[in-house]
Amino acid sequence: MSNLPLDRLVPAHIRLFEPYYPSMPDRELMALYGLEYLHRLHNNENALGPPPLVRTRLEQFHAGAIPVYPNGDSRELRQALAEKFGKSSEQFLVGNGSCELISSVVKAFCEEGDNIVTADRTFAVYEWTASFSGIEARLIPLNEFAFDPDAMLNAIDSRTKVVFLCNPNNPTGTYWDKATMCRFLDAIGGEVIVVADEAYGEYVDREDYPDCIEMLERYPNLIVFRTFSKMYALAALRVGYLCASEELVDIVRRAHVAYSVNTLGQLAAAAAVQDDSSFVADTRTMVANGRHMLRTLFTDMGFEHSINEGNYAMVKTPMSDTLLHRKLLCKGIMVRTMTGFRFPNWIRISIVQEPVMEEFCAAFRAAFPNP
Amino acid sequence: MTTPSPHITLSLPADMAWARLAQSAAENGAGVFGLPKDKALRLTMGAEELLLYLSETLPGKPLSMTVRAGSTAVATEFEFESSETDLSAMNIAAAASAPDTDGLPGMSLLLASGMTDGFSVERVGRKTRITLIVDRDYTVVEAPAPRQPGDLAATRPDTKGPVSVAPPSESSMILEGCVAMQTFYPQHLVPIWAKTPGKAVDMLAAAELEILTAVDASGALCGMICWEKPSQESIQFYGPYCFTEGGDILRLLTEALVATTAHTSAKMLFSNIAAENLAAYGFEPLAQLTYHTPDQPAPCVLPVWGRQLREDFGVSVWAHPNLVPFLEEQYEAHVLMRSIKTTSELGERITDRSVFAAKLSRDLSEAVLKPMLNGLDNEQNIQRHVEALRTEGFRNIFVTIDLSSGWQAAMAGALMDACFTPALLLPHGGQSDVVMFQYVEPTA
Ligand SMILES: Cc1ncc(COP(=O)(O)O)c(C=O)c1O
Repeated sequence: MSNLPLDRLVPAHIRLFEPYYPSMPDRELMALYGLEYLHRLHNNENALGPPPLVRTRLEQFHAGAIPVYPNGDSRELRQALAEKFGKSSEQFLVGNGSCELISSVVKAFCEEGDNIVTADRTFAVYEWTASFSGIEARLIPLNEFAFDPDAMLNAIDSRTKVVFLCNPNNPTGTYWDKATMCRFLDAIGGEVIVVADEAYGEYVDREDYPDCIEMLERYPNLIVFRTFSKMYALAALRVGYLCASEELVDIVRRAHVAYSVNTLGQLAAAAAVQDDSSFVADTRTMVANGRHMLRTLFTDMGFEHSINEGNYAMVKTPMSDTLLHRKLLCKGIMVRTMTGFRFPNWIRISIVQEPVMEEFCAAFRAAFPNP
Repeated sequence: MTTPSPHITLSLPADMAWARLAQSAAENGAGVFGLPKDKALRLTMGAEELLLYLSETLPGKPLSMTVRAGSTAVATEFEFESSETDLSAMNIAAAASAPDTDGLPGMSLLLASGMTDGFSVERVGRKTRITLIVDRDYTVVEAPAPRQPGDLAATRPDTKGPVSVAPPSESSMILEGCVAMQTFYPQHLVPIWAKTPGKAVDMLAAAELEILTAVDASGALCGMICWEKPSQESIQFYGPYCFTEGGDILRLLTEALVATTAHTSAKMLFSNIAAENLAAYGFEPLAQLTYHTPDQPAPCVLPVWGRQLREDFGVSVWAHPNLVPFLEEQYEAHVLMRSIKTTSELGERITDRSVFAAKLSRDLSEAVLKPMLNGLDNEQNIQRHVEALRTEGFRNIFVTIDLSSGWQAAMAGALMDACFTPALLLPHGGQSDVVMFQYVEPTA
């Protein structure tokens, strides 16, 4: 231990923050476990990806472009997005994954004494970003696995700056339909910024699912998050974006690091936007099949589960999630334990191709020899 | 980076010329920090004996002496920079001097610890710290006559309506819980502080103990679960205790415990006095410890339950060849990926004399030793400790080693030769996995 005066140097909200520990690199894990393959069912990646046009563009990329800084505000990507959604390119802001945008939004709107409102069991980065920024995170319990609009409205006070909605919710897969979303936004009445994180929006194929980008004109306090990490399978390149009114984008941009998105990422994301293959449809079919397999398995074994929208499923077992994680890992399958996300003894499984799901089902069954 | 508790500190050499000063600091401090006269006297005498011991073994050594107000006790600590040669005298079994002319053995630290409620020798950075603890005066709430497990269920009232789990809303609930624990569970399954609920309240206020209670719709206390944090990476819990029939109290309490402790620095959650079978709640049976309780001639068996709170991707650990079969069996049973590196003597320089840290709880008749320094005399030293501790009446003698350290792992051989058997593997119980050895009396 050094003699640094950390008591004085480090703010309490950082001292008390419990850091996040990512898992070790796949190759090290495989060596330790003596595995020949590792199925990554823990990060909700799209194993089918990336889309064909992305592959083509990446193959054409020349190493000669690497000494040059990327475009500082992802202009071409924003233009591609603007064209796709019928918006102006000034309504988009691109980040190093949507995680970076969460941070930019908190920095842009919150100061000491302010708070954000979100759910207790949702994507944890909203809560974590607020906490390590010294901003109170008000965590509203889910109701029947879904965001609870009335309880969230009740939690909002004069110091609430941002409400984070995860639609559909990670990890429960529940979503607010158009009517619920509109009722909520009407009730807030423009006093607070509302972020609708649609990280898994492209997986939802439901009539009543609200596409919040279409609602921006009606609700000027709305910010929509999307990412290229999930459906578009560009997780390694780290690209996410937000869409809002030009006025709000101009504010968030002030708190956002320019040049944070690399050239390859910008290029691949623009290709994903322009790809007109059946990639999205194929992915949806794959996920629908996987959901069906998992639902059948868990029902058959009598385990409580939550399988809704998104490319993931959750199940609760009588075994600790950490032991089940180890048992599955021994068979080359990595899932997410959910105890640390306030779902004691649940695991979350990302849905991928059928042969892998079959392997998962077999390994899962084998973990419970006498159910 | 915690706020220091109220304390006074003296700097003095290890020399009996300062005995009066040390005594009056201890006596005065104990009084100001709230110990009654008789207990203050015990702390004073302990401090005097310790200074005597240090002045004989480390004459003239600069010491710092601190009298500290803890939440439930007052402590006197002696701290000094220690070279390896000084350290061997810090074994609780070491004698200050050779047997004197009357043939009596020289005084030992173990004897100096005799009048205190808690005693420990540990290494803190480059310093060695010896701590004497005397508990505050708490009213003992007498346990009702112990009942047999068979007749417990009949006496539990029914749970009424939905149950909610939360920290105790007031201290009277803790008192009620402490009494209920003793009413419905045999003594060996109840934490020692349950007999002094005031102590539990103080521990809770100082965040040394955490409690969750289950309360039904009528406001009745239906159950309780409690936990402490023995290290940065582990949490030890007591319970869950259930005082009413129905309502799935055990599940509610264990789930709340897991949910509350999940996103903390702790990796491991375990209990060695779990009052119920926890298999159905996601806990794994880790061991069965044979434990001697002060009031019962026959030992009881305490099942140890545990679970990890985080994903365990595997690590490598050190092991003495003799311990490998035990480890392999444990790792397989608990599906833990470990690469085991066996220790071997590489001819490196080892000091002559080993040193063990010790933590003694007389009311539990428990001594927990931990190696501080590797030495050529490991085995003899362990034997000396066992003899001294048994002579002093300690019946539960444990040694823990951390498998992140090659030399500690190497000690397993000497321990097993000295009648210690590996009793418990605690994954991530320390820097890495910890093995707890228990002394087992050789059968004649
Ligand atoms: C709901 C949600 N939002 C945002 C993200 C962050 O995605 P990225 O930073 O890769 O864009 C994730 C990733 O898991 C997520 O689940």
